[in-house]
Amino acid sequence: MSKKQKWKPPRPREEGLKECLARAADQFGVGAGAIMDMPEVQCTPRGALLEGCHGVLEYTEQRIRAAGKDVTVQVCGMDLELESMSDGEMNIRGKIASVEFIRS
Amino acid sequence: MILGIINYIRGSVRIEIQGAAIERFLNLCAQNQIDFWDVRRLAPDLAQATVRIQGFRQLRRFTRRTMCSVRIVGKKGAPFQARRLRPRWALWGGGALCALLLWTACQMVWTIDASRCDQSLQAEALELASQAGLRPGVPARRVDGERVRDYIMTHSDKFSFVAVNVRGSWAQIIAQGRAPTPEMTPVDQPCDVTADKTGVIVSIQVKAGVAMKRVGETVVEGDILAAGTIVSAQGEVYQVHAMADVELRTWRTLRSVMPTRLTAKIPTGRQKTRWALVVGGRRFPLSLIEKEPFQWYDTFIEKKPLRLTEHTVLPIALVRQRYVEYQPRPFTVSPEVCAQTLERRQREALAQRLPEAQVAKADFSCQYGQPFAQAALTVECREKTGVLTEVSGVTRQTTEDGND
Repeated sequence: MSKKQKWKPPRPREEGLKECLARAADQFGVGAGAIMDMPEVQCTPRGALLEGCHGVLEYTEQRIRAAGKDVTVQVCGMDLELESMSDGEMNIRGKIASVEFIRS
Repeated sequence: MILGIINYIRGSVRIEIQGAAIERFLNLCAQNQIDFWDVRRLAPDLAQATVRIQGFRQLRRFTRRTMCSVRIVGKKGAPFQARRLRPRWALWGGGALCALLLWTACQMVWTIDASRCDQSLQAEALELASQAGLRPGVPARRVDGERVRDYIMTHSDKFSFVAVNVRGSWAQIIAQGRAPTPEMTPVDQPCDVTADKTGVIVSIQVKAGVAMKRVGETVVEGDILAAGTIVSAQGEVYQVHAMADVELRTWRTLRSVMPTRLTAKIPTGRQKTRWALVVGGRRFPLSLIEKEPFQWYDTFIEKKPLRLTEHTVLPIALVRQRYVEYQPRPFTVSPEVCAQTLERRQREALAQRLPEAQVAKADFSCQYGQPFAQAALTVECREKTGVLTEVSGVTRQTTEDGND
């Protein structure tokens, strides 16, 4: 008879340095967006602030798409306007219906 | 709002971007630190945005790369306003002259506040300060507060404390008067205790010297109450510093008069306002109004100086004069009101004149008449008396045990 192999629990995935720093930043309430180079969105029904974006991909009154690392932020609504835009930061004003993160 | 003011001062340009790759154009501008705001999409190939003047100069090189065209549709801000006003030399000259006059006016002292001085010393403090160089119109840099303070203290012996503060165009003088120094007689100097009032002795306690009066005796001003010269039974004469606490029973009568026929002012509700501008010491009327607007009126004057800050007061003031009309009506004061008013005034005068006296009895009488009412207040007081005077040599013969 073959010896039964003892079940071993799966080895936990090793956490990378960036993920560790991001978790530490979350613990302190700083926000992991700058560390992980991810876009961050602060949103209300009347406007949204996008940080960490690399640029605007599409801009119409109904949809604004902004590019980020490995993810695209899509803001849908009505009468959308770019209130201000600078390197990495975008302020959208209008009647926002939805905000989506589309992973590429 | 502050951001709007800053953008206005720096100037901004409203541009229209036309092309197929408007998003790419915006991304290029953002990556090259060109800030823009208020972006509006008008058509699939048309958008408008607002950029700063410096940003507009930089973004023109991106138009060719993105195959977009940029057109100015509006200009806003102080630089464009200034360019429009540049040929107007009189305006710039006048503005510069006003700024220069304002700056010059702010360098001088225009207001000297002596409200924190004792009432009786305000005029003297202002006069001495003026002699020391602190007066309206003097450059503030030339005024040394400490030197003015020293001048006031050395040229008058009425002040116990003086402080001079100069802030901007406002100067403040704080002064307190000096209380009269009581004449002090050295303890080892022989002296008598003399009465400075007239009355009947209620109590007398001689601590040193010989008592010359007893309880119940009448004394007049100048009488010796306790003598400093003691003659012993053996005939030896020696002089001491007499000390005594003497309380007298005194009578005071205060008389006063008050008119019973007065004129009351009944306001009619009508009033007129007249404005004037005071620049320095000159007055410029601003309204055309006849000199006497009503037959009977009261005048209320309000003066509002022009202040840049709390301590920077310019020599320009707006004066508002209100003329309020009234109708005079003869009015007769009733006997009760007369009596109450006269009694109150007399009691206040008594308290002011004799603050340390204790009133034992008071008798008030009022004679009401036309056109005057007369009142008399007679009070019986308990007052302390006794001043130290030079020893006179007058004394009583004492026995061996020190009694008379």
